[in-house]
Amino acid sequence: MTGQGDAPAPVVEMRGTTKTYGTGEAAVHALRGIDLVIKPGEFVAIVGPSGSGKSTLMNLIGCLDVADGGTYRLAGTDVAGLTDDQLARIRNRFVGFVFQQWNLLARTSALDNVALPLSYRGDRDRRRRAMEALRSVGLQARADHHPNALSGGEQQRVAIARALVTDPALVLADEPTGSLDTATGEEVMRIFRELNESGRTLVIVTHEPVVAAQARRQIRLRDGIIVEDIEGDNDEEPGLRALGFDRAHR
Amino acid sequence: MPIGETIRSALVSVAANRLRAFLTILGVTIGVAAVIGMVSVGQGASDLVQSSLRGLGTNAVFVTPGTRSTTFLQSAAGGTTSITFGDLAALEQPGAVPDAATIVPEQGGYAQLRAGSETRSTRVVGTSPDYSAVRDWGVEYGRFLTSGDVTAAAPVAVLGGDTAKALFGTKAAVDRSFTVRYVQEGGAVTLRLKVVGVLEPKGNIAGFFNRDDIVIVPITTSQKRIFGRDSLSTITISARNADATTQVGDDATDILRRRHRLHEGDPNDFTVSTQQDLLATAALTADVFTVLLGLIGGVSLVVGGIGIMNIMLVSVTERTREIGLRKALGARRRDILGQFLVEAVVLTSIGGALGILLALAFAWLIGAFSPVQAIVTPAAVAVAALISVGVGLLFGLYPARRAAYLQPIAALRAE
Repeated sequence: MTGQGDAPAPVVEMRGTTKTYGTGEAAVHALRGIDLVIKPGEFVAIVGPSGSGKSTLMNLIGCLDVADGGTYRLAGTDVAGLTDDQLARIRNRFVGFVFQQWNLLARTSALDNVALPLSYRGDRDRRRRAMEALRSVGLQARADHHPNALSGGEQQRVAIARALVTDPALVLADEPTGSLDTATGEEVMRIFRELNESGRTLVIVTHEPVVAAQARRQIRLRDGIIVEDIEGDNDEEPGLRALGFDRAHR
Repeated sequence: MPIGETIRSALVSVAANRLRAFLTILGVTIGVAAVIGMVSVGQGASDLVQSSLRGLGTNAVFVTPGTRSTTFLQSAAGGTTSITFGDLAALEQPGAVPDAATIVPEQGGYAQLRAGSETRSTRVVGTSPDYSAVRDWGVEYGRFLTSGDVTAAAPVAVLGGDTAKALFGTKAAVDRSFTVRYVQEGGAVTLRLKVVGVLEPKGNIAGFFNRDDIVIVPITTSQKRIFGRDSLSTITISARNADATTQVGDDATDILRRRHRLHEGDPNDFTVSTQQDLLATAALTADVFTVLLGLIGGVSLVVGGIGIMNIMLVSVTERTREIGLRKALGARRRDILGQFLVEAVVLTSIGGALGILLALAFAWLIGAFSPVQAIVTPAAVAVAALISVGVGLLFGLYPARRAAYLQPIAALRAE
């Protein structure tokens, strides 16, 4: 990964970012100063115990929330001081979200779920593009199915297709395997690896070491600061083969 | 988000909670039906009153006791006796009211009727033969009063259709007899009357006052042999043509003021009104009536709207996660606002449409079972449709704003 050549402008560029919830004595310093640069094509796992600030960091990276201090540029755009609607536009343009509970709209077909982000930008071609995205996760045959007619793994693949349909600068996944069994989780991780291999920038927030181990870069948070930032291949990670993760795809 | 998709997703969401949606909609449905139904009945009643008044003839001038503001209550209480047979005679003097074609006195009161075992309390009106022409009211059987009846103060009567039926059943009433008994402070008077005719059916006014329950006797008979009083309830003067009604009214006013010894500046102790006056008064009354009925309907619409607001607030709470997801995926405030507003409007529009159908059914029922034709005008339907959309916008706004201002992370984290 590190030898892949000169990267253009970073996708994520945080300098001294802080975030505090509450005020006075009740204040919780969720993030105490984060410096983080993620370049295009990276596959990053953010790990850490609960309360370490990783969810807060994910919310800031995804522009679901705004920082109190420091600067943050997403795909070259400074998001400080943007209004809610401007942030919505930034999210729509640059970020593809995959949530733990996949969060598909019930009573809405897989195709329409995938097309949802495009409808918020008034894309007239959205159904065709949604179909393409579904095809890329191998679910074109399920386009008319409602989420309750899909398995957990299929639902998560629909959610991934929805994250990809806008061709975002960054795919941001929050515990993407957290609600799946091991085999299905592995399937989902395989899709993520393939996406990364085709050049997609991925950030995964997880507390599962085996999931984090599949990323090419791990960022460990504790008490609101980055305590570890390891890059490199993790083939030697001992737990993986034992858990039966298929390494052939790497 | 394209509006077509927003409406489709609103319909999906409404269909997902059918029972709840139906119960919510019911409030608006009843409200809209009440507004249209009430306004239609008001309109129908007003039309009926207007057409009955027109039936009195446009040339008619009415002289009644009391001032306009007190007429109804005072005459109902018998408190005024300002129009008398003397006044009638003065008006009938040749040349007194040159433009008068006919002058018809009326004297009325309620009395007990009896024929065999049947008894009945009915309005008895003493009048002259011209009554039939002035009121455009002929007989179905027998004959009307004659001048001979009046001269002789004959004990004869012409009955309204319903009165005849009540006293004599299905048998022919003409040539049969009944007694009329009138009780007042001085004592009771009983008189046996012979039926000479039965009037054509007229129907009732606005469902309240049955015009076919009446006994008509010669004015002399009522004055001397039944009521024993000198006061009249109405003098109807028919002008030679419609243009002369004002002159007739002025002449009659002058004569009566002189006779009643009213000084300059004293108010009239009687009322002279033309057909046009009555129509205008009736129209005003009907409008007030219609507006009042509409307001009653409006109250139920407000209640329906509050129901919509309540259920939309529940819906926003239930779908907090969905709102968070949509915002994360790029929905702006106005997208969310629009989504929930459209959903509220879809609910109230369905309610409004059902309400219009209900109102049409109600109008049909009213028309089928009462003399009032409830008239559902296209304008009333259009206004009701607009109002139901308006109720959706008004009562949907607050819940939709709450949804639109949710923060995406807070919404996503909701259970």
